[in-house]
Amino acid sequence: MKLVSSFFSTPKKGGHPRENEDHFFPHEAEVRRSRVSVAIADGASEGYMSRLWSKILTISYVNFDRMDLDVRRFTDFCVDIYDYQMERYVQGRMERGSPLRWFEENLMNKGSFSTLLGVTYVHSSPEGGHWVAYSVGDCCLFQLRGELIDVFPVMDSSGFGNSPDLISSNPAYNVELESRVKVKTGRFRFGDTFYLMTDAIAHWFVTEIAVGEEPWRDVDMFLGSDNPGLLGYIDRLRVENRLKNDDVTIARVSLLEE
Amino acid sequence: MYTAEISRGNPTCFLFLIDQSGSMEDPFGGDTTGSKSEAVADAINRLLQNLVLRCAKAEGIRDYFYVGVIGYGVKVGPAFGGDLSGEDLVPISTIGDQPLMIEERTQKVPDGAGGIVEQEVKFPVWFEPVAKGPTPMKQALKKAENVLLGWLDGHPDCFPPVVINISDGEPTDGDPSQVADSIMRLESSDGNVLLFNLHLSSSRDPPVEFSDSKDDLPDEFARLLFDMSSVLPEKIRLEAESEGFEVTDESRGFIFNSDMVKVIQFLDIGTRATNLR
Repeated sequence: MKLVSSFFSTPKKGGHPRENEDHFFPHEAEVRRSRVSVAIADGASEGYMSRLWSKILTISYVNFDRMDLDVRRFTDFCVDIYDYQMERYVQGRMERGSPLRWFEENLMNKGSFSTLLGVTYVHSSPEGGHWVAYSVGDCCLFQLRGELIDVFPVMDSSGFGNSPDLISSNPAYNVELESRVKVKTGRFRFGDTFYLMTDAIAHWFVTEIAVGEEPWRDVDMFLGSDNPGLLGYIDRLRVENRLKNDDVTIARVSLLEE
Repeated sequence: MYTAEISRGNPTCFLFLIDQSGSMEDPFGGDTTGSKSEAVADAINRLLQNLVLRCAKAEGIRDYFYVGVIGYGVKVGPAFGGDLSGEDLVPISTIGDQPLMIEERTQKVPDGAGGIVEQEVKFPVWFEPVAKGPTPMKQALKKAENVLLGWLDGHPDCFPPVVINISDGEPTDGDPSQVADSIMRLESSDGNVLLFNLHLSSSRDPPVEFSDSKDDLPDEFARLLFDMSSVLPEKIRLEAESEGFEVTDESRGFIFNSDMVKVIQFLDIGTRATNLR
């Protein structure tokens, strides 16, 4: 099975690329395996090192690459990596003579927060296979076979707010994690396309679909071939107040027969 | 209305009015160990800390907010000390960088296994308790109105400024209602200025949060501050509701003997970590 992907990620208008707290993984345009995982995450604006945390979550999900994800074990694994990275970061700051300031210490005690949507595809039949998706928060998946055939998590326009469910790097805030995890399984045929996206652009997708539009057609014109064009398109949506000014990440994943 | 983005390019303004009058020496909430002036200092320090934390990232503090603190007691005017002395409005990054001192306090936090543990946290202090002189609340509101006029002149499209008055509600310079009304009539293109009141009382009456009626309030001072408080805009009301507060269309930004920190958390500057509730 061949998984072909393109992705685009941009910070909110007025923000620097290093302030973009979204993350998508993997970055390879093509992966050939019988089982492949992809993941997207949106680090919370409030919170320390959200960019690092969303990166750890997505990379770890892809490396776990499991149909039967043990969310607790997965999160513990990610927290260990995060703690190690933070220890190195704090040590580095000390060595550079720039110790953490009071607000950094207080924020670090609270931890980092992020949404996560991970999908694992398995080649299991001559025509295609099946997939399982795990989601915490409001990143969305749209499955297309010429037309839209599935959305996960199912959300209407009102389902997007500024306080989604989140995974924390601080175990104290993950006590109710299992109740926040949504799981969905489905089947794919070779040739199917999946869009994974963070909340702002997903909200726009959902709104457009609700009025009979096919927003993926506009995105397809640019994604993977004309990133400046896509950025211009996104900027126009923002100016027209059709898209919230937030970090935007869109990934297109196609499953093909080898 | 009340939908303007709060960003570094389009910041909004918080103005705190803190009662530093002699009556603030009285005990707070019927407590014999703490005074109202201590409660005010604690409230303003925690409000400022929360504003800073909402804007702080590893690379620094983003200036989503400009903040002013007007004290009223022996005199009326900007209340920051040290290098910020005399400033009407200060970027939140400057406030974060310049507390008067940083105390170590212990905080009870969940341990992740259903229990509670104590954790050391930094508690920055910008204001220490002051209780001296009369209560010129009307003058303080007038001063606030002037500061707001200047801010709105330079930021006509900002999320409407928020004014938080922290007091025991016993003005000595006449009825402040008219000035309060003038403040609530000021507007940006996104809506009217919001005036909220945190009433710290010596009374043992139970706390009141975002009430929609003054009928159950314990005294005339509470009722005065209730009347001087803006009705919560829909967006803030929905945030309050989702946090478990009982609110109605008529709920006001009035808190009696409780905590105002939640109010500033209801303003949208990005994804909030509600796990922290």
